[in-house]
Amino acid sequence: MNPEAYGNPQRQSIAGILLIFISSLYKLFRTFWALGAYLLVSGPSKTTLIYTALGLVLLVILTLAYSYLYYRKFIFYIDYKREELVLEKGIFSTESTAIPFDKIQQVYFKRSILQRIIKVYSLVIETAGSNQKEVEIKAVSEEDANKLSKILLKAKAEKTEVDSLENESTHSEENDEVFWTHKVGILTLLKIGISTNYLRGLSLVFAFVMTLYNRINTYFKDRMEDVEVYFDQFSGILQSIGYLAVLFVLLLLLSISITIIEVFIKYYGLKIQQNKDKMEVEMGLKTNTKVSLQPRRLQLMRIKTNPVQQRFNLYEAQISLSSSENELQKNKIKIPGLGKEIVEKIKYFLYPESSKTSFSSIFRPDKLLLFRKISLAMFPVLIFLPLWYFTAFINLQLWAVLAISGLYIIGALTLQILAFRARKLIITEEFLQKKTGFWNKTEETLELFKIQSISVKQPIWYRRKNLVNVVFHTAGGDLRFYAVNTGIIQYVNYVLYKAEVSSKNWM
Amino acid sequence: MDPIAKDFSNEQIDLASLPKYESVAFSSVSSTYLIKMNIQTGIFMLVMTIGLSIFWFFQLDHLQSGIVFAVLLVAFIFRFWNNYKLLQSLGYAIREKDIIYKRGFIFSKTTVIPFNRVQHASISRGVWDKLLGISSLNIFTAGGGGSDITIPGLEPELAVQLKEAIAVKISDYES
Repeated sequence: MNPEAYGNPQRQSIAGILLIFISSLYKLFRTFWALGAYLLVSGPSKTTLIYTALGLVLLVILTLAYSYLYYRKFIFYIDYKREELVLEKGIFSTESTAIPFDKIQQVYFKRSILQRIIKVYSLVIETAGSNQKEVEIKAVSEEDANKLSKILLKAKAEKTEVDSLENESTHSEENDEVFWTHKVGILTLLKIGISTNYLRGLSLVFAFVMTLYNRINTYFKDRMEDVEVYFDQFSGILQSIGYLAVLFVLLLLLSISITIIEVFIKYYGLKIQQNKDKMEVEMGLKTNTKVSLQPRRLQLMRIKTNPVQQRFNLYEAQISLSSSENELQKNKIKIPGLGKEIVEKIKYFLYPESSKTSFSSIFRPDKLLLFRKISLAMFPVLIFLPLWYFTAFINLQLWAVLAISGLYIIGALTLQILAFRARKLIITEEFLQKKTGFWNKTEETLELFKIQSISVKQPIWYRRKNLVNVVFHTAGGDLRFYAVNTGIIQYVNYVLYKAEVSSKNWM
Repeated sequence: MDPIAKDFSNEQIDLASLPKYESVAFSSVSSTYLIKMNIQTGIFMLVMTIGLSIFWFFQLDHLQSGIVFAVLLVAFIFRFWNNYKLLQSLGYAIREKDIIYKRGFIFSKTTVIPFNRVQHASISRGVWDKLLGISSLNIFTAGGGGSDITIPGLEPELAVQLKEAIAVKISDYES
């Protein structure tokens, strides 16, 4: 093969115009189909139809022109001198991306049905960078795709030869002995389905009570009428309440079964297996996801539960990983339906040194945060009351309004106070742990040296009270803690120190 | 049992004796940046005023428009004052192992990025930057938008120097 192949600027396969054209038309259709449907249903006049047709033709022509220009402006080539793949695209604003060979993680092909029909391939190049995770050249011929991927993979291999050699040697030592396996059965999935959706259920109950109330209300307004009519109406009311109840039960069942189906599709056959140095998670009915977790790649871990789920011994782990080779895997994976003992096992595997620490400091937010949260929570009341008072939008009597707002205020206050009490940040020798939530309990754990940077914020009104907001940025999301005493700053210095002395790789 | 690695030590750390990021001396950015901010605020003000004048021409009486413009004026005086304060609050410092950037007067924010977490650094210049002869230095990490910093209002040579200094620091860690 010519060693300098693709050294000159290249365009995609000419069939690419068709691909761009059809996919942009499809996008337009997806955005505007509702409008079109409305137009057809509304019974348009002849002239409207003609103008619409003309507009459509114009749109198609414009799209075609756009596709052609986009095709002309989409250029890629390999810069052998600087050892990178260069990609330029964009009609109005030009975007130029250069991918150094050693940053390439993976090169592979992809084909949609459309691409199959017009006989082109998508060439996807994955990188380890932070902002742009992957680059896709959407229409290349089979020959070009093969050649390009060969060249890129070869160049990458040459650049990272040393690394891969090291990796191979460790791979050969790898022990495939399985330490433990955990499977989530159908029964557990059912439990997850039922317990995750109580909120949707609750809102249904609320809607039911409200309709019931309205019915009774309209009935009592008419109670001055004749006794004969009274009985008729009364039975009528009872009947309609009966219908409503049936409808409500049906809705509740429907909502629960939808969740159960969702849970089954996502998590069917969930299996966790731990080897000596990695943990494998497999799940999914429709698309089978398989993820391998290495402690090295872990950025941030969240454990979630609520009292109902706690009763069933169900915990959910959310694990953020730094982007790795596997394309299917997103940066975050959710593993529901874990028992407490399994959570402990996973924690022990991911953070083997979490038990020993020479100090452990606990920070709690200042009362200021509580006030802020409470005032935010009072917002709905502030909107609701004038809406009720000044407009006829909400048709309720005074006592009902007072009862509803009173209940809401008491409920919101207790919830906020309890949540505020549950909120804390624990800093130990190697870890940061943030615990939040009174009902939905969340526990976030971060290994100190995995931070990317730290931001300390201080609005002007915090100054006198000596408070700051601290944000620990990681590659798997931020960990924020608000309105904490400035005493935390020496720990910020400590976390920075931990990151700066560490020679361990964060990914 | 694992053999004890060479040069291994695990001394206890005294938190109070760690270097303090909050007590470093910050370098401030060029005051040309204030001009840029004021130009941008000015253009925004012009657009707002024109927009409101058109609106006023059709809709409002004298008293109403007077109130609107008074509010607008106060808002813009505040903006200009805030620009001034913002410039004063902007500062950066480079330590041996990290870079510190602080900004904001009403919402002050300080970000510290260790050099061994920097992905890359770049210099960007917008239209006004080119006219006024200043540059911005962007430093990117893998931690997403909140984690990256942009130091505006640097003299172009200084920006290049800083960028190169950072590049050297990064490659030190990579090797």
